[in-house]
Amino acid sequence: MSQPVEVWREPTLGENLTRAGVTRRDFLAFCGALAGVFALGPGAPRASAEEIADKLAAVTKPSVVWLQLQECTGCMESALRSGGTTVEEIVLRLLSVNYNELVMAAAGDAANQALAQTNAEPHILVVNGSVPLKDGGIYCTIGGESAEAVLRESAKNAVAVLAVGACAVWGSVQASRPNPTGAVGVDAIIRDKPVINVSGCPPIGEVITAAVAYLLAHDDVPKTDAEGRPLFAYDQRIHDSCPRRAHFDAGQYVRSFDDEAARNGWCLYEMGCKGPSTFSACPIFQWNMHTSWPIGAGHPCIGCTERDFFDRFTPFYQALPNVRGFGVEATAEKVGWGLVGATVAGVAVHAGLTAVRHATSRKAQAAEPLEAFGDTSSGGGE
Amino acid sequence: MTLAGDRIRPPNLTIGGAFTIGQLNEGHVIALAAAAPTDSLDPVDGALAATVASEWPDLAAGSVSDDEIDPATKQRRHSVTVVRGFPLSDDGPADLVVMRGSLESVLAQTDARRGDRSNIRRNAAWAERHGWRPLAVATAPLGADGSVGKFSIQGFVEVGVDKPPRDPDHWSANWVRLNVWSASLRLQHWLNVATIFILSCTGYIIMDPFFGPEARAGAETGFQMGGVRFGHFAAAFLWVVLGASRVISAFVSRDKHLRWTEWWPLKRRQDLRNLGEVLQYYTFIKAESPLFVAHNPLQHLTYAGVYVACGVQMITGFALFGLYHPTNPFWALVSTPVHWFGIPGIRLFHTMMMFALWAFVIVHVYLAVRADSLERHGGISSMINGGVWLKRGAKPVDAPEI
Repeated sequence: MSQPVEVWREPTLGENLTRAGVTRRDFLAFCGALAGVFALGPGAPRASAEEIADKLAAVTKPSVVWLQLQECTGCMESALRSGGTTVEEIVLRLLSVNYNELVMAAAGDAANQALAQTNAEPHILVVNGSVPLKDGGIYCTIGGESAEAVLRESAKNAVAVLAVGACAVWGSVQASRPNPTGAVGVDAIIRDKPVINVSGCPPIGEVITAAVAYLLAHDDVPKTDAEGRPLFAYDQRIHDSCPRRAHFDAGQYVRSFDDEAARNGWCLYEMGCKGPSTFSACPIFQWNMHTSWPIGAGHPCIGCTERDFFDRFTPFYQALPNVRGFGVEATAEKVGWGLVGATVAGVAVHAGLTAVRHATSRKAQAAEPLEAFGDTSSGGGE
Repeated sequence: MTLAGDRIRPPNLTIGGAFTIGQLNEGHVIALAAAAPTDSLDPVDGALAATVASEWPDLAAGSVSDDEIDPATKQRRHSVTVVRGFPLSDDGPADLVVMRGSLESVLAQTDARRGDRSNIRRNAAWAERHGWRPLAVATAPLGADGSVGKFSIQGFVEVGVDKPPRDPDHWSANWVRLNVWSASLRLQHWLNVATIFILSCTGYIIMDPFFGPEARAGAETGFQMGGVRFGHFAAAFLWVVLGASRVISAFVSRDKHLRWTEWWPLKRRQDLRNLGEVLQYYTFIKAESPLFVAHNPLQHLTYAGVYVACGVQMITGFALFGLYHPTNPFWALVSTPVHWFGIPGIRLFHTMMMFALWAFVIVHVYLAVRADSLERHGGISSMINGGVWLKRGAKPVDAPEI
C-alpha cells in the first residue's frame, strides 16, 4: 500500500467508509459477498447482507495488531493485493491497524510505542509467521524481543487471535523436517484462548478479510474444524468442488504436463494433485478477484492449507508420498510390488527346497536291498 | 532258495498297508503278496506272512510249492508264483498266478489302462516319500490245463524298512474324515476372498489409474473412476458388515474355531514348543511337524495378525471416506485419524497394507497347496466342504486321537 494508514476520524466504520468515498451500494455488495462466504459453512449463524452491513458499519474503532513474525510477507501481499482497490482493502485500512511491520508509517520507537499502546487495550490480534523456539528464539527478533515474547505480549489483551497463513498455523516450510529453528505455529504458544487458523500458503485474500469481518460482525469466533480452521472456508475438499472433478470421475487424467489431456484441461490426479486431500475454498473464491487459481492454470494442488504439507504431501508431483527407509526413497507402488515379488521369490525357493528334500528322502528309502524287489540276485545272475 | 550269505543282516521290516486298484481288497492283495513256501527265508515273505496271520487268518489258506516259483532277479525285478487253493471268493478256492515285485517291472507285464497306471504311480510315489517301498502285485487266472491268462495289476503293498510298526486298528479303514470347518466359517472365508479381491483391484486403480480413455476429440466420456470408486465403497461396506459379523461370532458362536480364544494360541508352555517345532518344520530343520487338525500355532498368530491388518484397512479406509462429510459428527469422528497422520500418510498406509495382504495371500495359498500335497489331508477342499482327512491312529495336538 502506497498511502499511509488512514487515521480513524469518525466514530464508526460506516461513517469512515462514507468519508473515504465508499458508496453504500459498494458496501452492501461487499457485505453480500461476505454473507455468501459465511453461508458456505454450516453452523455459522445465517445473516443477510443488510444485517452484516448494519453491524459492520456500527463497529467503532476496532484496533488491530497485525504481527509479522518468521514469514515471507506473502500473506500480507495476498490480503492487500487482491486485484485492485477493493472494499476489502479499505476495510482493512480503516480497521485501525495500529501496528503492522509492513504497512505502518511509523518506525523505531514510535512503532514500538504504538504496539505497546494497542497491546494495553482490547484488540484483535492477527499473526503472520511462525515462532522459532530454538536457541532462545534468536532466529526472529523484533525490537530486541524474541518472536515468542512479542506474541505473548500482544496476545495478553487480545479479544481474538487470528493465525493467518501456514507459518502462523503450524510453521510451514521452516517447520518442516529438520526444522532448524524450532518453528511452531501460534496455537502452540497461545493456549488460553481460541486461535482461528486461516491456513494456506498464502490464504486467499478474501478468506482473510472474511475471517476478520466475521469477528466484527458476529462478536464471536467462527466455527472451526478439528484443526482450528473456520468451517465457512475450509469445510470442503478442493477435490469435491473442483471444476475438473468430472474428468476425475470419467477416468480422464493428465499423464504429462505437455500431453493432449493437459491441453484439454483434464484431471491432474496422476500429476500428484493434492486436491483430494486438501480442505480449502480455492475452486470457489479463486485468486486475484476470481482471475485464476493453481488447478485452473493447469498445475496440481500442493495442499498448502493442510498441516505439515511440506513433509506429508511431497513429492508434489506424485499421488502418494514415498516410503522411507529403503536407502533412497521409493514410491509406494515400487515398494509394494517389490514386497509382492520378494514373497513370490521366497515361496518359489521354499517350494524348490521342499521338492529337493522329498526327492532325496525317496532315494534314502530305496537304500536297503530287498530280495522281493530283485535288488539282490538269487535265482539267475551270479 | 536263498543263500544266507546274500544278506548282510535281516532288515527289520514293517508292512504299512496296501493300495488296491483291481477287484481285490486290501487283505487279498497282501495275502497274495505273501504267497510263498512256508520255509521261505526272505524277510519280506516273513513280514507279509505275519501280517496275514494276525489280520486275515482266513486268507492264509493258499499253498505254494517250491518248483512253481520263479524268483525276482536284477534283470527281471519281479517274481512269478503259482498259488493253488486261494480263498478268493465265497465260491470256493481258486488257482491263480501272482506276479510280485517292483512297480515298473510288474506294470510292464500288464496292459493296465493309462489312468490306472498314473493312479498307481502317484500313490506309489506318495508311499515312497513317506518311507515305504511299494511292492506291486498283479494276478492272472490259471487254467485247468496249466495255461496262464492275462496279468492284471491289483495294487501294491507298502513295505517299510526300520519303520515303527503300525497301529493294529489301522487296518479296518485307513483314512477318517473329520468335519472341522462350519458352514458359516467357510462362507466368511470366501466372502472375504471376494471382497478383498474387489477392494484390491479397485483400490489399486484408485491409487494409480494406470489406464483410461485417451484424449481425442469425440471420445466417449464414460464414468471409469466413478464406477471403480463405487465398487470400492460398496465392497468396503460389505466388508465392514462381514467384519462385524466375524467379531460378533467370535463371542457368541459355539464353534470352537470361531471363538476369540483361537486368536491367541500360546496358552501353555507346550504351545510355545509346538510353535518352535512348526517353525523348524517350515525352515527344513525338522522333517515332521506336530499334527494339527485345525490350525497350528503359527497359523493362529498369522491369522490374528491378518484380522488386525483388515481392521486397520477398514479404519483407515473409512477415515478417508469420511472426508466427504466433515461436518457430520459421525463421519468427523471416523475421520479423526487423518488429523494425527495427515491424509497422505493415511493413504500411504492404506496402500502399503494392501500390498502386505497380497503377500499374505501368496504365502497362504502356497502353504495350503504344499500342505495338501504333502499330507494328503484335503486341506484345500476342506475350506469348501468342511472336512479334512486323517490317518486312523493319528495323534493330533488339538483333537483326541483319531
